[in-house]
Amino acid sequence: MPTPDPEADVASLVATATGRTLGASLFRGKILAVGEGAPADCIFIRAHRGERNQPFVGSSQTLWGADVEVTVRGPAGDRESARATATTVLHALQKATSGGGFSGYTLALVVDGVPEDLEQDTNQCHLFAVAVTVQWMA
Amino acid sequence: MATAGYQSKVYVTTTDTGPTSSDLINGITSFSWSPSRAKLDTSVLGEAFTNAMAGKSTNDPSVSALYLPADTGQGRLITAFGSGATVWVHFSPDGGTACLKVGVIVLGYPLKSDQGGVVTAEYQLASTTAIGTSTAS
Repeated sequence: MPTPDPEADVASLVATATGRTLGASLFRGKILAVGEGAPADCIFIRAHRGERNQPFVGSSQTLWGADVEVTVRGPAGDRESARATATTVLHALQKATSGGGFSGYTLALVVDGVPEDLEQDTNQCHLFAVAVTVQWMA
Repeated sequence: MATAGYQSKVYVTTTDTGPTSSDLINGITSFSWSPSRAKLDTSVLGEAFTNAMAGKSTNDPSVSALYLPADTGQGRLITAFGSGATVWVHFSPDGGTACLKVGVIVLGYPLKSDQGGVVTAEYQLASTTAIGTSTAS
């Protein structure tokens, strides 16, 4: 996998910021239902293609971009817990820098001021989403 | 056959010699090679048409780039701005070894930084020599 890997790097940053463990309470990829390999209180991280990349004149390097979505699911019926975790994630990702453990990126920006409320799932777990835009040269 | 712009190569050397890969300017998002010639009006009263003759030529290229001060090529342009010295810009439109070249001074390099993007620089150049050719190696 060429570096950097936005999904893995955001997952690492979020794990540090929230004290979660990858594979136990933090997962990369699609949202897993409660009881299907994931607990209720956990975080899912998934990278999406971002804006169009920008090749440079006469250089093998390109400016790449991606959007990474972090979805926080809280314990059943506990909206505040999920919202607090999502806010922690938002602040950790907004303007994350190499000095803060997010190296290799030119830019990290969270556009939204608060986590997006995705309402409850069928298990009464509240969901909140934070999207971060990252850019890097490679 | 058309040529992809990202294959073009732009070099800068501090002496009038053929460039090598270590002379590349990196981070360029846009480069323009702008040769032009003044039109001198030689018509006189009573003539039905405007007559013109070719005036002196000039070439003022410009380089738009992500600001990379540690890059060798961009660093040479910034140094040349400070000293006023002539540097040579070599442009290979198709990325091959055949280059167009011109000696230039750097008139300025405005930097732009905004809260939602990366820092960019625009190097404004003015020719001090005639256009020539060079061979990259």
